Amino acid sequence: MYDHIKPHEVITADRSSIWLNLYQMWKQRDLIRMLTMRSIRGRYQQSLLGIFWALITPVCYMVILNVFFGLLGGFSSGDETPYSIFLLAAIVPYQFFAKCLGDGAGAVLSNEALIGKVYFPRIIFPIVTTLSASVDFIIAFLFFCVCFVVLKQPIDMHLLVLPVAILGVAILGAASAVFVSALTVKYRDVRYALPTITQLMFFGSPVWYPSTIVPEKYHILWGINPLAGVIEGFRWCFFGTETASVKLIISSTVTTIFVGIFGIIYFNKIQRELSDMI
Amino acid sequence: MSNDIPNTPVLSEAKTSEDIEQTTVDSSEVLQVEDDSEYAIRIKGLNKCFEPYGYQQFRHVPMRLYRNSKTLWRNLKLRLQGKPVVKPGPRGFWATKDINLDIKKGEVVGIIGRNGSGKTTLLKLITQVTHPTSGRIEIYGRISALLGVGTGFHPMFTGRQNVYMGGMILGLSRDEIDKRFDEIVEFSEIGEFIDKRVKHYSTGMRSRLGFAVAVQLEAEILLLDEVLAVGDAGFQRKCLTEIRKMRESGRTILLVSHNTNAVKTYCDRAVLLEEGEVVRDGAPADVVSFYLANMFEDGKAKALGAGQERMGNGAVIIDNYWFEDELGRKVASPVCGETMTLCFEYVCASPDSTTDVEIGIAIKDEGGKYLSRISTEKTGYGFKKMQENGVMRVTIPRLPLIPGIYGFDYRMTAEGDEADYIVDAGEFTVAEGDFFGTGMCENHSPILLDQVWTLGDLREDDNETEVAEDDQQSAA
Repeated sequence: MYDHIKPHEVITADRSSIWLNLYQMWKQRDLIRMLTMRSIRGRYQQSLLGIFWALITPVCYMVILNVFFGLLGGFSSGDETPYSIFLLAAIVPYQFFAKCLGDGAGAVLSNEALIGKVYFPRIIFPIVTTLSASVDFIIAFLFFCVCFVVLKQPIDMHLLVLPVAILGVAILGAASAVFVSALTVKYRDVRYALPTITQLMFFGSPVWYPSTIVPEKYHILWGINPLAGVIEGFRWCFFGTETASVKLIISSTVTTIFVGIFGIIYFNKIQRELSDMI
Repeated sequence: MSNDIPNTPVLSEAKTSEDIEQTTVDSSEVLQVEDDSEYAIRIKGLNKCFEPYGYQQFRHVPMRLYRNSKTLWRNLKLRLQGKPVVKPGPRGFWATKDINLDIKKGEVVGIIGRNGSGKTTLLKLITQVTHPTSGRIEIYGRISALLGVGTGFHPMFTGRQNVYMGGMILGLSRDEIDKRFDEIVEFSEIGEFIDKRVKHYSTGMRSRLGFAVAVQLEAEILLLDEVLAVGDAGFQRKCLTEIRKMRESGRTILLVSHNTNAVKTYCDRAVLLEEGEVVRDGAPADVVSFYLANMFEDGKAKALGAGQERMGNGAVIIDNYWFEDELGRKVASPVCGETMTLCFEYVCASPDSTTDVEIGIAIKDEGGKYLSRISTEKTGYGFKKMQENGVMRVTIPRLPLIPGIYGFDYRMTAEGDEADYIVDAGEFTVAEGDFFGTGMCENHSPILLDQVWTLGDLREDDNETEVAEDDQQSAA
């Protein structure tokens, strides 16, 4: 019976490692998979259109933005790219980010029942949130690809960088979820502030306007908003225009990495107190 | 507590400098270090302090400054007014204080103590649900825990999903859980409800499934918190049978329970916690009797129904109660099998106009289940004439309650009108005693009955009574 004796556990009052324990997460992969599946299924339970919402929301966004900013506001992509697909290329990553942020806020809090009674690495909660949001992202992304082909957009070498761009989106989403989930436990105010922050990020990122609208000398500063560069990079892979700002992309990448590291450190720092604070 | 065992096998990455010295000194002990530990859990100097609610929020932030500035301002004002400055009270609540425990493999340890004595916190610290403020816990083996009713269950998941999740948290693979799944369902008697969401389960179903998961997933160490407090009698019996089986198969069990009899019967060792400290650690019988004897102060009168709502017109009321033994001495707790006298100090507002006073006491067990009612009405002892104040006494020869904790409701009527009525008016412990005169005590049933057993031939009915009488005489 004592075959499994090897993984002795030592609990001390010392602070646990502040770094991401990937091995621990790998050990819990079954659990992560199950919680993710459950979260996706639970999300669309008792809804008529189910998973189609992953399509409906970005399309609606696109139509609304197209009407108000494109037709009425006179905005355009800044080059020959059709405004609609230009919008969609930004809406898809933006929606993913907004979902990570929004669901991340409740990721730990809503699992109160579990946290007070059983232990497993708490970081699994925001990770599961990110994974379940990425399912929506994949659906929306595939829809975007279809539109991209249907609209006969030119395909060039830029597409080779796409995996890196997607990785950037994923890292930003996960990092925000991890950070926000921990922060919300400590300061419940975050929950109320988040909708406003998400709105601000929407207007502060090149979603419905090309990055050229902002003078280039401010692009490094602009990159403090990690979403701006991530969206720009994502869009650059598809349209590869001269107008894309390399400065913005690099600056945002730095911010994203910073958010990621800071989020994990912060989460690990307060994860031992989680059950006492909830 | 024997912490000073020299050849302590500590796992390599957790060695303290002391341990390394010891292992290098004696080469024969190095071998033992490689061998698996004889311990299941070792706890050293464990402390846990809960900070008051909201305090964490103010730890490093500007809010702290705001708070401090408010305190400074208040103190300044007090100083100017020439009043003494109020010092802030001690922050935080120490749920466990310097706990040292070594639990050997295969030991079944009962943890007892009053509410709030730190029992549950101790289990939560071992399962890492909450983290120690200082100290160290070493765990040798996998831990499966059941902290209260239906715990570790996600209410939105079905029973099936929860079973899998429980297994995965424990580190089992999907296949390993598959293998045990049917046993779990069968043990929990949950039937087709296994595919229903846990939030629709009854408390009994939750506790059954929780216990089944904890038990059937075969972790080496099992932590059970108050599992016996829920569920019906059948389920409790099943739990106890299972605990006995696990004990035989050499699993380590930590059992937190208010059921002192279960601790005495099923545990190899008992630990008594009081205010977060280990007060007694040893043989269950000793620890339990120490606990029961010290639950209340010695033989003092206690206020009846302190903090409870009083009902009735107050024509006659009872203020205090205490227990006396056969010789009329005040005792802390009545003894099983001995004469118990329960005394009530009464006050009567107008003794002349108050007649026909009846009193009834309903005795309950720890779980609140009524066991017996003693009263003046049914027994024909009703009091006709009262004084301004005095004592009512009720004597029960050979107290037929097993050792444990009991509570009672009390109601008094005067001329049929309710004079005084308190639910949960008081509580008492029954100390161990020798009811049957055999030195043995019945632990499982709450009520002890006088009994006579006979052995006879299989004969016609009319002769049987005679035989029984004969045997009774010879027994006497």
